[in-house]
Amino acid sequence: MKKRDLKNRITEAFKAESPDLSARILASCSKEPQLPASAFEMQLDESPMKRLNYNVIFKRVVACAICLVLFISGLSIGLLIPNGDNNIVRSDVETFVYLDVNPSIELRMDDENNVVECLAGNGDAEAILLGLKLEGVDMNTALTAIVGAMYVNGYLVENSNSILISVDAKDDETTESLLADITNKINTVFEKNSLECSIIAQSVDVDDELEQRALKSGVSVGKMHLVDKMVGKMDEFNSEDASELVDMSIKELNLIYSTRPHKGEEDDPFGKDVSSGDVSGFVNQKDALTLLLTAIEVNQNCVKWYRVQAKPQHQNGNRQMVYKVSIRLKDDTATYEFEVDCQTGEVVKIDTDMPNINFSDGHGGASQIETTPNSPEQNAPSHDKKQDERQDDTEGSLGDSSQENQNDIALGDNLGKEDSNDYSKTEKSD
Amino acid sequence: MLIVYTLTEEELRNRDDKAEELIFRMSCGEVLAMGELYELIETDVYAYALSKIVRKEDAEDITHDTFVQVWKNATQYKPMGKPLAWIFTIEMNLIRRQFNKSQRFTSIDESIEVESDNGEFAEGVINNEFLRQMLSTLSEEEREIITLHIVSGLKHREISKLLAKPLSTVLSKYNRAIKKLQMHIKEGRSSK
Repeated sequence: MKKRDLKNRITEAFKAESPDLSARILASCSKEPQLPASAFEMQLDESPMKRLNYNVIFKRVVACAICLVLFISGLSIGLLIPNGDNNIVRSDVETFVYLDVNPSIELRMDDENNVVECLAGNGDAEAILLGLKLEGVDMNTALTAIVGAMYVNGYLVENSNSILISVDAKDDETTESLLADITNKINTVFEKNSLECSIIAQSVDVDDELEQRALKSGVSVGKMHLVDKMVGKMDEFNSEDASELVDMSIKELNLIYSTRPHKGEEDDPFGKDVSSGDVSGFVNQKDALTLLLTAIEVNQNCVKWYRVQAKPQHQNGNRQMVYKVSIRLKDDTATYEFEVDCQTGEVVKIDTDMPNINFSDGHGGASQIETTPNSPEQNAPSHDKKQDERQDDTEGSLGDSSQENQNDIALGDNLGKEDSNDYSKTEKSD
Repeated sequence: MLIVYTLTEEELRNRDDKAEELIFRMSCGEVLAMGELYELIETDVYAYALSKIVRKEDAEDITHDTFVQVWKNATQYKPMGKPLAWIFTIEMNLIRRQFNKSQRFTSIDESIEVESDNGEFAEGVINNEFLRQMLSTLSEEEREIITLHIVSGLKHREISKLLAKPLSTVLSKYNRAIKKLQMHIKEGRSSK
């Protein structure tokens, strides 16, 4: 191998192996104070015999003077438009981007997607932005720095993150392009740092009314808008549920969001949203269904139609996320309702009206369907305290058998495919 | 198509000028100049750390710490047109402080052991086959010189100054390292 080829190969190999540590480094630097500049001058003063680089000092003084002049000019010439009581919005702001994890951050950008201002929406965000000077930098760098700072401050963990991105831009085209760009950028940062993340990216048209309601609820306009859409579009939520939805974390809202189909119709408020990644930290819909079918000993082939949707439920004053699973069996017109804990996959509520019907092979299923016994003791040999408490409120509770038989039923293609189209099936079957 | 990764004289000069400008901006407290500096020299800093420590995770930590130290000490930098030499000095000191010589040798032995036991590379060990072979074929000094010259484009004279070694030593070690690598590649091909 020629020397030049070898050199290229070595450089290429190191480049390929280099990790992306930019977010981590930027976040660390923003927290690290610099040594005082005077230390350099002191060093020169203390060692008069050393060569003084006056040229360098002159250059620095000139550069600082230019910076100062530019800064003062920017303040005096740049138009400042008052907006509301205390908010000042610079005239060159074209786009607003809201990031919600728990910290809520608002980025205001110019038409070239450079950050004009970066505002903290809550106390957590203030801690994130402390020391980060994002004004003037491009959007990608700002996003990398913010994600890095969130990670360093413990708001992001390895495998359970949800981010809501809301964009208010001058036109639909810009908004759509930005939604895709930001989602891609954040995904890339997460992937490079081996973190998992689910993202909802939505467009938002912020007006005074939305801003006031968000302010009153103590959330960002992005989160308020998402809640509005849920209340407006999802049948199971009405305006009275808005306050509860507002209190929920982005991760919980994301779970509810991800279990509803989005058809992309013109009047669908969710239609132009961009979402990516599985909502981690929860049992997914398909696994929840498998666990349920196993627990109630129903073969997948006997299920004609099903729907799995996440919803909040209150237990002793605590909110718990459960999957509401609706099942309709073959040769049966009734719909049976069950509930599965989204975090543990445990069946927390069963429908005792499910008939004890034996299906023959002729019905497409090889095994039998049986209703689960009303008495939980019959097939639940061990219950912890939490499970026992739950039985008070539920019609029946299943024990560990659901876990033991988890692998006995393998979902067929028919169920897997139906997963994302459950609403359309509702219409057909109804 | 041949893609040339090594930098020309002019590109190296531009890189040094840019790095110097960025360090100056950092000395004025501009934290995001660090992001640009990272983009500019990430491979150089990481490659040097990897050539000394071999373990990927440790090299990442050293890279991170080096950039943080550069940020902290940006106000102390005297612009002389050699920003990379200054950064490498910081990195060398960090490596010396955190890893003594025996630890550095242990780490390369461990990584070879992982390969021979499992036939696969464990997490935290270098994935690039060629790079692994290169690092395991060369001595620490050879790796160091090869990396500084080929990846970062430092001249032999600059390396000699940086490592406080005679120029003749640097040159002979460099040439020996190149021959070793060429031989290793040739043997690898013939065994296949």
